[in-house]
Amino acid sequence: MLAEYTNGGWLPPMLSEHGGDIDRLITVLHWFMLLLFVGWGIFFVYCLVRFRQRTGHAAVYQPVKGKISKYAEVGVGIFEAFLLIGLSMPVWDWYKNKPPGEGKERCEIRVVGEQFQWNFHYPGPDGKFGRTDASLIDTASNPLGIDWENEHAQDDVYSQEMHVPVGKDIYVRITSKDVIHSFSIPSMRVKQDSIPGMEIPVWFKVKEDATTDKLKEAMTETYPIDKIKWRRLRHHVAVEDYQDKSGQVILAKGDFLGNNYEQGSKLIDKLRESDHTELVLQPKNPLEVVCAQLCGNNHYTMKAQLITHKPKGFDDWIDEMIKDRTAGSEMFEDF
Amino acid sequence: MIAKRCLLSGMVAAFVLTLLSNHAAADGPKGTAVVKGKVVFDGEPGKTGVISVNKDEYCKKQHAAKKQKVPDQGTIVYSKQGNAIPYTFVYIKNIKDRYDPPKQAALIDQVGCVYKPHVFGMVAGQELHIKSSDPTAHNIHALPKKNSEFNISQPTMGTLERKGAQTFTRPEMAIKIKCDVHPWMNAWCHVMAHPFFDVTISHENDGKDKSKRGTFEIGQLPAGDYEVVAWHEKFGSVSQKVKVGDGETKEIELKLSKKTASMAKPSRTVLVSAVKDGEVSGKELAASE
Repeated sequence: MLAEYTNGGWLPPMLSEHGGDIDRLITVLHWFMLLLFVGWGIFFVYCLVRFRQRTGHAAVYQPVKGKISKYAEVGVGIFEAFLLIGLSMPVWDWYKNKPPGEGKERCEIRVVGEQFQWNFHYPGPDGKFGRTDASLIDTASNPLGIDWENEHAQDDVYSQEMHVPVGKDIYVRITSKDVIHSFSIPSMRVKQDSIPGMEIPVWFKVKEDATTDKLKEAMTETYPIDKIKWRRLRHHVAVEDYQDKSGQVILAKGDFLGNNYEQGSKLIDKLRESDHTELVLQPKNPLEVVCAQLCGNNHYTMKAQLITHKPKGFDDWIDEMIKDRTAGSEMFEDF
Repeated sequence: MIAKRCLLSGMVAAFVLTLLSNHAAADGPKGTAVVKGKVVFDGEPGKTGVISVNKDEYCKKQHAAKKQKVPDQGTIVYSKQGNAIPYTFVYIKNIKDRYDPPKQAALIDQVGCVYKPHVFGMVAGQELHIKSSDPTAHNIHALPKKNSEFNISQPTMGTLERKGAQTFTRPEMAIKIKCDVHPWMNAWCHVMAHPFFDVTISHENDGKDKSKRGTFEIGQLPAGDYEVVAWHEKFGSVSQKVKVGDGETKEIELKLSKKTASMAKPSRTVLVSAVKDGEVSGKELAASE
């Protein structure tokens, strides 16, 4: 979804603290690849011309034996060993073995992939995850098998949306219930395979100003009604109410331009007839978590909304979720 | 040559006629006896589970607008109506005759990311119609063991998939139906050889008469001795013998409990990892699906 807002940029927008390094690495790698491609390309063309078939010239089938080629090969071997042992491994060690501070300093989230959904488990204010047990798993009402009677589970939160605070270390523990998935947030430059039976951590920090609200505001645009196509703007919602001539609201604030092509086209026609010349729209939610590993038939539907908050807003969301869950059983007072 | 062709077409006609007549003869006898009653939970029922439908933007909004939580249908027990259990499949076990499928198709609908009905019965060879009332993509995936599996997408609102008579041709209990897009969605389909079954009434179809909840009624039975079985996805199954004569109505109460729930046999073993705080432990689990 975000790719729409990069105005032709070749990578999606980057909203995490470490993401710049990854983008730089990708850029450098591509320049190196271009260098190699051009160099070898020139050599290839040279060989085509130099060793073309001519009368009176026979091919030589013995490999070249000489000191120069031997030293060159050994030299390349040593250089590559230096790249791997001297540069790559320390950098990898620095990335993978230095997690951010423990406890309340970081926001910890358990992520469990399943066909075809991401499940998020938050430890709540006490910072401790409640017990989970495979025998408590219920695909409908308890996909993670959280033991809600457990003392640490009292303030736990289960969600199908990923909510994170900005400017704080986020420590994600990734696992899977069934097959291998890959937890990926393109806009945060985070990607990690999720493997059943293993828990693999990754961590990142969202840039201080990259809250969902601010992003939405920045992406709010005015579209002339004649240029609005439902297909292109189907993930957008109205920023204000739009009424028809009799004053009835036909497109309410926060609503999509119809649920399908037919509805959408009709609505756009109706808005035009009601003398609206332009619409102010913004994306419903610009960020998402996806699965980056083909995990089955409906792999493409394995997405979750990602919502970034100011730390205060994040705490409020956690409180609200806890309240909502504990109010759960009283909702069915009729039963 | 002509004689040969006549013989051949005659044989084909005879074959088709035999098939047709066999088919017609398959419809077993019906009568006027009725078995009805109620399925209840014996003991203290657990809490009703709550389903999160937040993965889907549309369904989230729809339920939020009604200020409604989505109950896990498999956990509902109406404690205010004497622990009546809805969505229980009640059927007669010992009927040997085969019956023709009804002409009308069975219908399953998808409303607000929930299947309606949650539990239903069919006669082998009956057509199945699958409808989507949601403007969001659904995927309906049936997981039978004796019949053939199907897995189809319904990307737009109002689509109606007509699965023909070849869908479920063999009697099979408890075929799970799920949605691959919304993992919480599940329904159970029972394919029977005869039409003597019913599903206990829930709050969705009680017609505002709460006393009807948990009740069932099986009519048009020939007089005889029967074994009535109640099957529930979580609470297991229970059976009771009953004798009915022509024009007679027998009322019975079937009791499910924690004991019948624990006796529901696990059919496969899977390995799932469970996580305690800060540690990972593998645990072997007998799943009941």
